Amino acid sequence: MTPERWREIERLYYAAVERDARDRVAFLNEACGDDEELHREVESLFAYHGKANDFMERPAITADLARLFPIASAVRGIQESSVPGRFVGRVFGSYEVQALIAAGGMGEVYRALDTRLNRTVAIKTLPAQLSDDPDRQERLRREANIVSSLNHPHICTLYDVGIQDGIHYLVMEHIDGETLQARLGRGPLPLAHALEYAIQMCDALDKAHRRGVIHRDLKPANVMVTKSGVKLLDFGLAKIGRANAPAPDASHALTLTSDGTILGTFQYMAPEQVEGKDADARTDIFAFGALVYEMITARTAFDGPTQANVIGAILKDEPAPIIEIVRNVPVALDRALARCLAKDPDDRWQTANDLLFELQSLASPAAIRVRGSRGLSRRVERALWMAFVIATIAGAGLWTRSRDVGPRAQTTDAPAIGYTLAPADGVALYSIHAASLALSPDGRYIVYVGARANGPTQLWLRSLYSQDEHALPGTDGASAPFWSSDSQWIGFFAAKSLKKVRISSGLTQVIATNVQNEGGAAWNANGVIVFQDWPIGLSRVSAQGGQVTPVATGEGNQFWPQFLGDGQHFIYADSVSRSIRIASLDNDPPRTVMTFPVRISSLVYVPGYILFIQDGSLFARPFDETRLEFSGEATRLLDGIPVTGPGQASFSVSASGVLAYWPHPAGVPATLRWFGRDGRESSPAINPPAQYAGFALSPDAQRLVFSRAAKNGGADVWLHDLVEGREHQLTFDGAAFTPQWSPDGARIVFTGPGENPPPKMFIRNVTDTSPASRFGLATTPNFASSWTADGRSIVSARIDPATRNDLWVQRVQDGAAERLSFNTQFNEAQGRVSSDNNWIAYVTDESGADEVWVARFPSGDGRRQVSVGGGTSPQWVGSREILYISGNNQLMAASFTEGPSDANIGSPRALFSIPNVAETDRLLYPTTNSFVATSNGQRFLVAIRGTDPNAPPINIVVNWRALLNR
Amino acid sequence: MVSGASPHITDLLLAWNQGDDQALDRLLPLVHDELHKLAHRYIAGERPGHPLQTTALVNEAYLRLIDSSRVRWQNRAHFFAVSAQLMRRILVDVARARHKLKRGGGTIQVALDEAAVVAQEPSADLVALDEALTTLAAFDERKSKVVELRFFGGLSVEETAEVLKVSTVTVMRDWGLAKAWLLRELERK
Repeated sequence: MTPERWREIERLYYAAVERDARDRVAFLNEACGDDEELHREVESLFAYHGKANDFMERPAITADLARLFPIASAVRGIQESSVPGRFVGRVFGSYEVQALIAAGGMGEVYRALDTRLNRTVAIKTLPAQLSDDPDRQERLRREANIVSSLNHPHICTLYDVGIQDGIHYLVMEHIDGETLQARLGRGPLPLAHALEYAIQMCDALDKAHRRGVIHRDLKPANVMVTKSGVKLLDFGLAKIGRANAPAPDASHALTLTSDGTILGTFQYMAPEQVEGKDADARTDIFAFGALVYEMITARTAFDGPTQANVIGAILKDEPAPIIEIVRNVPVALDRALARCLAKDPDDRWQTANDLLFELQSLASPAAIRVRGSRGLSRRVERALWMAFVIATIAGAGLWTRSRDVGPRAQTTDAPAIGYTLAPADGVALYSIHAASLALSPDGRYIVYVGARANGPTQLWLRSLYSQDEHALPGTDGASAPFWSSDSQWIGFFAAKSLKKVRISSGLTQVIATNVQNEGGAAWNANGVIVFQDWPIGLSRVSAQGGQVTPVATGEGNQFWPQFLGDGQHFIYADSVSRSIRIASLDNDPPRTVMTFPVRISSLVYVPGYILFIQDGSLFARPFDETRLEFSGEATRLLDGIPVTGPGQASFSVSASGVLAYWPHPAGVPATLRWFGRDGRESSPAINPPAQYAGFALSPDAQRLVFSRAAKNGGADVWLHDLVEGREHQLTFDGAAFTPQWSPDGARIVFTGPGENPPPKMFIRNVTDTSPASRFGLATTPNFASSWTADGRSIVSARIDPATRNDLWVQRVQDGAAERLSFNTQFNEAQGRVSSDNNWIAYVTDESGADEVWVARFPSGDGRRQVSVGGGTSPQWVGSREILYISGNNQLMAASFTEGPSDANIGSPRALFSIPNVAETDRLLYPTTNSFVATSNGQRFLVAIRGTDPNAPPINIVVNWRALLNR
Repeated sequence: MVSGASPHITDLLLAWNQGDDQALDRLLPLVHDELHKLAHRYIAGERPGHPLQTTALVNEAYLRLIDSSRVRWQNRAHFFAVSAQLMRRILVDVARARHKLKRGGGTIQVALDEAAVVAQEPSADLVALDEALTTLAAFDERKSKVVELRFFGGLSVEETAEVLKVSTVTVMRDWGLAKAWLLRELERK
């Protein structure tokens, strides 16, 4: 192929592209003459012209990243993004796309050239998810017939419709003008104009309604103001009314988000739309009323600082009286608008025609006439309606997935409506290892665990129907809230106790002590609470207090109990078998009802369904309570909910139909900050806040190694050079924790997933990239705690179902392991050996609270308590001092010398206070620490609680069952 | 926290910029690491509704890698042209290595392990595309550049037009024919 030949081919190719089929053949024949090869070449390239439409349309890196990181992208639910404006330069039929005008939820709008009539048009492309299903095509044709008779001067004219390469496009008149939204940004309309436009719009609505088409999305952004009056846009979401064909699968009036719920402009929605009910002509009339109100006053009729406020206003409030804002509004107009905005559809104008009559009689008889001709050709009329229909079906196509078996009575055609809810000012949502939010069964309240920057966690109660939001007193240190079935009480866990608080009075009471919970609880109508009681399994207790008895035990963990409707049976998740099991308070033997391929997540029960998470997606599966088994397949509701820890995911559903979820992994974000012995902070700190699962300083204090969580809930080990300020990722599996240094600073030991559970220890060099090697054998999860100063052994903590956390020591050379003798049936963790290898400092909670103890190493003899009033995160300074954090968050130092028969431990003294030190997640990673010290004990790197600036708000879906229709 | 600029990488980039192809070979492992990290961060940090912006990623990769006071980009267009080229090399090399991996050859590195999880994806396609693109460049350099800028660099039509100093219509026409030709080439293999 020479450049000259190629240029010839190119010239012919472009010429061929611009001709239609018949002309092309003739043209090529003439142009190529005898040159058969040229002819073939151009023809074959031309054949690929169509095929290549989608080829390479997504830039390499977007596609490749998803391929390079399948795990991460799967968990995040990454949608393959399309480049906006990608059709510029494309040719649809005889229209050449020139520029992108707008991009929105329902596709993009371009300016294009109609090459046949040589005029400018607008082309709207519909999202590529539209299916080419023949049923849908047929319905399209049928609906097109019904709809083809409408045309109106105040509805944006449609010229043509088409399908090309799977892309549906509508060709419309290109409107020269601005949106009403833009116009109103400059101030209100003069009354006469507002009335004229109102009459034009109402007339258009009337015509549409008579044909059974409802707009459903009237708003200033959908109205264009031109020299010849207003034009309504985006009837593309219209739903054929009951008067005509059966309704399509679903329709919606707002922008779809990637997970299918709707977040968008609520301000023009009618109350019935907000409540998720079906819309009809009167819904349009409500929106119309809000629109006209805004044209006259330049203020939105229903407004508020948050989406929740706007919804509340639509449901309950009346807009400020027009007459108070604009003086010369005729009383009759005010009354007419008020009737549009009645909350109950039955109290509004029942037809646009009646309203039109009223508006016309208000206008001065001489001035206002509806302009524009009504004599559009039949072809254009038909085209117009086909466009409406296509877009309608397109809308339906976006929603529909295969409908699963489920009680049909429960599903509606209404869209799922959602909004976001931010926690109170200055409060951050906190979840460490348990569910952090819960909706009351009656759907009126949400309780969440929140904390201010320098304060403890508390329970915050927020009404979903009013502005009321406050912290519940007496709930400091709370986690894992759950509601009583009458929505009057909230149970929660704090300071190793189970407590309850009454929401009306704030009264708190203790129900049981000495319990550790990380896996949920439930409270039935008879006042029985079933909760996860680590490490026993599930236990029951009366809400009045009293004896705690086990109800479900077994190998591994039992989590997330949920009572069924009868209050006797309950479901729960069993970790080892990865199944959902059902048991009862009458001690029927537990029975498995479902098993999962990968780990199980938190469960929620609502009448008729069980909801759970798999792979970051929320599923609902219908459950038959009489037969106590699932009655259908699971339907995926939405994506983007990470699962962390023991299957914990932050979501809650109320029996009333509300769903709340927080698309964020659990954990306490912290910044690492340097302090001197005098308590003065020095720089630089390690920002931004991140969730650490262990960090350790190299012996020369020049490097730091830590395990840091990623947004998808996994955590990896990183090496951070403190001198150069750069970091370097060491593991990539997303499940590596608690790294510790070897005494020569050349290697680290950390805990990783290995091929199968339980988590195991690995050792690797830090200076090169040789792979990590597994260290030792263990049958229970094993977390590295420290490396002895002689480099020969590693102290680790193992999680044992019977004896809880225990400290072990393992020889590096051969992995020979020994359980240290001072272990009790309570938790021993965070063990660190002195620099002369003779003593070990560790934490045990055998007294009921965490305290620091020492014992000889490795014999375990001579153990002595060091801290009083609580102590965690012990660190040695050589062999002469023990540092730790006290129960009231002070950095303590106790001198240590070895005497002839015993150790002399000095009375601990406080060096300084650190009120907002980050809690370590000891239940899961028994060797994570809140601070590290340099080997000379002069400087400390402390994890300080921070707030994640990118933490998302809580997502609320008003009617989660609508998600079943997707 | 991390400054990112490395004198080592900058030297290599400069050398490559001035025509030393071997410099790129030495650069790739360093850059791959950085890209890997960045991509992880991008995927992890992506918020719903904000699609991944390729040019943003490339931009960031560059800013992090180079000490921009030393490498003087004549203009933005030059910058993009170079980054698209680099992106192409990186991706094709990764694809090549991955492809070799599937066939059992080559050393296994921890970083590539992750990529090798995906069995289905045609890493071979990217290698073949690269070869076809090189063939195209022999008789039509501009079209090859359009593809490199748009597909590997993720540039829009307007940006490509700016870099190549042609009209957007020209870019679209080049793009259309190049795609047809490339697709035909790939399907013939």
